[in-house]
Amino acid sequence: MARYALQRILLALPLLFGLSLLVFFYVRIIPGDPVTAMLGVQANPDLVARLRAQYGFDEPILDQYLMWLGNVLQGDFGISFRSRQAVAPIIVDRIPATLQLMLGGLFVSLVVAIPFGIRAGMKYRQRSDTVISTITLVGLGSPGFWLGTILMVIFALVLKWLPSQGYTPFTQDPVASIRYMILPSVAIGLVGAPFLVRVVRSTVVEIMKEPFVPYADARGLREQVIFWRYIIRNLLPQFVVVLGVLVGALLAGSVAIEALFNWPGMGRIFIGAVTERDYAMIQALILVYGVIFVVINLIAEIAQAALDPRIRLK
Amino acid sequence: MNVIRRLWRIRSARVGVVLAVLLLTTAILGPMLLPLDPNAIDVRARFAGPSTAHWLGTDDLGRDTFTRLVHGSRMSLFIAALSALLGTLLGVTLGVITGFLGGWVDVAGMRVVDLFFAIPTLLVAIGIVALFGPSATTTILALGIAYTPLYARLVRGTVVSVRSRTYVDASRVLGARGVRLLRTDILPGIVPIALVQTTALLGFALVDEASLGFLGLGVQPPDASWGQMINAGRQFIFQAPWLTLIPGFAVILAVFSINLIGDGLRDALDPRASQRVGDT
Amino acid sequence: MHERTSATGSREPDAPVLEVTDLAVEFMTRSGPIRVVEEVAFRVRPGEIVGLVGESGSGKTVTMMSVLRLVPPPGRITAGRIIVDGTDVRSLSRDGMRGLRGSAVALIPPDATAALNPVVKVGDQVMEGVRSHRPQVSEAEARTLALEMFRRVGLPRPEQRLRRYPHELSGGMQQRVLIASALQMAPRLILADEPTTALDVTIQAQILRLLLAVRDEFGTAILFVTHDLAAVAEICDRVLVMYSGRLVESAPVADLFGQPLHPYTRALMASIPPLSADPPDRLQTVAGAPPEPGSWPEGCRFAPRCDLRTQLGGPDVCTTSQPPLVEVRPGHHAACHFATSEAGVRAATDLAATVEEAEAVVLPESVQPGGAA
Repeated sequence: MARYALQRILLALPLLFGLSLLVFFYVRIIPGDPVTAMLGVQANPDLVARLRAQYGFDEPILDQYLMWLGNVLQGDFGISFRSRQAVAPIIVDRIPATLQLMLGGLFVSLVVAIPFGIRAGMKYRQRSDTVISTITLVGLGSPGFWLGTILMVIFALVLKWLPSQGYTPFTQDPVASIRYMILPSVAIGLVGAPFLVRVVRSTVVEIMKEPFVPYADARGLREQVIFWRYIIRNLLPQFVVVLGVLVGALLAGSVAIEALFNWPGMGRIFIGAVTERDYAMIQALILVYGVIFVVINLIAEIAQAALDPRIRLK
Repeated sequence: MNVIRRLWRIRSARVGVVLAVLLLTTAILGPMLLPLDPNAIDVRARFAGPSTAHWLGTDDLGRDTFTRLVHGSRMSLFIAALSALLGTLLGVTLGVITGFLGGWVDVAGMRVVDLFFAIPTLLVAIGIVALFGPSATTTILALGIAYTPLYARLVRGTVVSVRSRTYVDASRVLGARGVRLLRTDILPGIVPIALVQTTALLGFALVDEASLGFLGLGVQPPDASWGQMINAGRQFIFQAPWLTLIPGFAVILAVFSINLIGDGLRDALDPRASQRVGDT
Repeated sequence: MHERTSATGSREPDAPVLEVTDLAVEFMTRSGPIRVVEEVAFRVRPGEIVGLVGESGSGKTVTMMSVLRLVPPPGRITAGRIIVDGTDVRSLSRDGMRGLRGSAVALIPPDATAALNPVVKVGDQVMEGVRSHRPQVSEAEARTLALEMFRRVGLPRPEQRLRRYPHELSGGMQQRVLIASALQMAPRLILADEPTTALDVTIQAQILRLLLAVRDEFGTAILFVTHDLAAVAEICDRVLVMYSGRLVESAPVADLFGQPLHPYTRALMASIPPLSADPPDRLQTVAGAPPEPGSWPEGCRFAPRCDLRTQLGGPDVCTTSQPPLVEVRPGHHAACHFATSEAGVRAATDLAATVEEAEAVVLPESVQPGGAA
C-alpha cells in the first residue's frame, strides 16, 4: 500500500512539472507580449521597454523559465502587472476561503447525492429511480450562479434567515463563518450533486448485477450485511475517485459563486485578473488551482487503493 | 437509420427530441418572426411586467425580454453548437492521431492531455478568454479547446481497442493498412462514442456559456445570451425577477432536453441497452 | 460442529431432504407469463447426490433456485410444493426463508471468482455467514469454525488463506472457500450449480472428488446441476434429465448410462466426445436447437429434434400429446411415448455399449471418497 502511494506520488511529480511548463508558456503565447497586451499598443515605448526588462521578457526563454520556476518553488509568483504587489501573498490570503467553500459544497453534494444515488440505483427502473433521475437531469442543467441567485433572494433577502453576501474567517468566528457559507455552499453543492447522483446510481446498478449480491442472498445473509458490506463497500473505491473529479467541478463552479456571494476566494481575484489582463496573477492562480486539483486527485487515488485490494496490488 | 428509430422508441428521448426541436425552431426562426428589435431601448417602459405588448415584460432599459430571450437563444445555442463541434473536431483528430500512430506521438499527446486534465475545464476556458478578450468567438474557441482533452482521451481509448481488435482480425490478414484501416474499422468504431460525447458536450457548453456570460467573460452587451441576461437581470432581482428567472429556465430546459437525448442515445447505441445504465 | 441446525419440521430418519412436487415457474413478461418450468417433481434423500442435467435454458438452474425461492425476476414460482427437510419453503416468511438459506440449504455457485466479494477478505466472508445466522456466535468462535472448514476442504495453510482477498487465490481455491462456507452451517442439502465449469480440467476433477468427500464425511445430500454428463457419471447416485422445462428422464446413474430410455438423453450421451485412441468420424451433437421458452411445440417438446421419431416414421402422437413421466422400469422414469418400443430399446443398448467403451477412457480413475483432493 505504501509502495503504491509512493508510486502515485512520484507519478504526480512530472504532471506538476508539466503544469508549470504549461502555465509558463501560457503567458508567452499571447499575441504580441503580455506587456503590450496589458498596456495597449499606444503605450509609451519607454514604459513598455522598462516593464519588459523588469519581467525578464528580453531574456532567452529557457532562462526565463528556469528563473520563474526557481522563484515559484521559493513561493515567489512574481509581481502583479496591475497592483505592482507580490502575487503570492494575495493568493495565499484567498486560499482558505476557497477551500472552505469547496468543503461546504462537497458536504452538500454528498449529503444530497449519496442517499438519492443509492436509492435510485437500488430501485433501478422503478418509480423512485425515475423520479430521482428526472430531477437529476433537471439539476444537471441548472447553472450554480443562477441557483445561487434564487437562494440568495429567498433566504437572505426575503426571509432574512441568512446573510446575503460576505465572509468571516472560521478561526475568527465559527458561527458567523458558517452562516455566511451556507448559501454559497448549497448553491455550489447542488451543482455537484446531480453529477454525483448519476455516478452513484450507475455504480450501484453495476454492483447489484454482480453475482456476489444474489449469492449473498442465497447464503441467507442479513439485509444490513448485504447493504453495507456488499453494496456500499464496493461502491466506496469508485466513489472516492469520483470525488476527486467532483472537486474539479466544484473549483470551477466556485468562481461564479464567489462572484455572486462576494466571497473573498481565489475566484474573485481570478475574474478581476482576467478582466484586467493581469497575467502574472492569472498564471499563478491557474497553477494554484491546478496543484489543488492534482493533489486532491492524488489523495483520491490513494484512498481508492486503500479501499480496493485489487488496485493496490497491481 | 437504425439508431434513430431505436432512439425514438425510448420515451424520454422522444421528449428530449421534441423539446430540442422546439428550442431550435424558436432560436432559428424566432428572430425573423418577432417584430421588436432586441436592442431597442424604451426608457418609458422600463421594468414593465408581462403584458400583451411585452409577453415577458421589459428590462432596465425597456428592452423586450421575450425578444431578447429569443435572440439570446439563438446566440446561446449557436455558441454551444459550435464549441461542441470544435471540441469534437479537435478531440477526434487528436484522439485518432495519438491512438492510431501510437509510439512517441501517443505518449507525447497523452501527456499534454493529462496536463489539461490537471486544470478544471471551466478554468481552462477562462484562461483562454484572458488571452483573447471576451466575445462570442472567444467563448466558442475557449470552450472548444477546454473540451478537447477529455474527448481526445476517450477517442484514443476507442481507437486503441478497435485497432488491437482489428489487428488480430480479418483486416490485417486481408492486408488493410493505414488509411484504409482507418476508414473501414477505426472511424466507424468511434461514431457511437462520438455521438454520445458530442451530445454531452452540448449540454456542458450551454451551462458553461451561461457561466462565462454571467462572469462578464462571454457574450458582451448589448448582444444577448442566456448567461449574459442572467447577469444583467441579477441587479434588478426585486424589481423584475423574471429577468433572472426566465433565462435560467431556458438553460435548464435546453440542457434537460439534450441530456434526455444523450441518455437515450447511449441506450440506443448500446447492444445491452435493456439492462444497462450509462455512467456519467 | 456436527449438530444439525435445521430445527424446522419433524422428520423420519430416511425422509427426503428435498421433495419437489409439481413445480411450475413462470416468467412474467409484457406479453404475458411464460412457463419455463412445469410439472417438475423429484426427491433427494439424505446423503444422496442427484444430478440435474440439461442444456442451458432447460430450466435446471431455475428449478434449483426455486428451492431457495430465489428465482431471478421476472421469474415466479406459480405452483407446486417444495419441502426442504420437512419445511414447506413456499409458506415460509421472508425471515424464515432467510434462516433456511445458507443453513439447512447451501448453494455452491458456478463462478467462484464472481461470487466472492472482491473487497472483503475471504475469511471474513465465510465468517459473516455464521454470524448472520447465529448472532450469538462470537467473532473468535466463527474464526475457529472457518479455520476448521478451510482445513477440511483441503485449503493449505488455512490461517493465511483466511486473511487473503479473493483475487489472491486461484480459481480452485476460491471454489474451496465457497464449499467451506457452504459447509460451516452443516446443511442437510447442498445445491451445486455447475460448480466446476469455470475451472481447469484437473481442478474440476479435484473439486468433484471434494464434493464426494463432503457427502461421505458430512452426510450432506447434493443436488448437482450440470450439463456435464461425465461429471454426473463420476459422482452422482441418481440423475434427472430436463428438457424444455420438463423432466424427461430420471434414473439411478448406472441405469441411465446402462439403458437411457429417452431419445434426448441418448442424444446427450452421444455428444460426449470419447477420448479413445480413434477419434470418431464425426462428433455428434444434438441436432437442431432447443425451442425458446414460451414457444414450446405441441405434444412432446423434443419431437422436432427426435431421432427415434424420425426412425418410426413420425407418429402423430408425438406432436399431439405430451408424454407423461412414467416409471418404465423399477426406479427408472422416462417421458417418451416410445420408451419401450423395439427401436428405442435397440438404440439404448447400442449407445450404452459405445458409451461404456468411451467411459473406460474418459473416466479412468475410480473415485476415492474422502481422498485428499
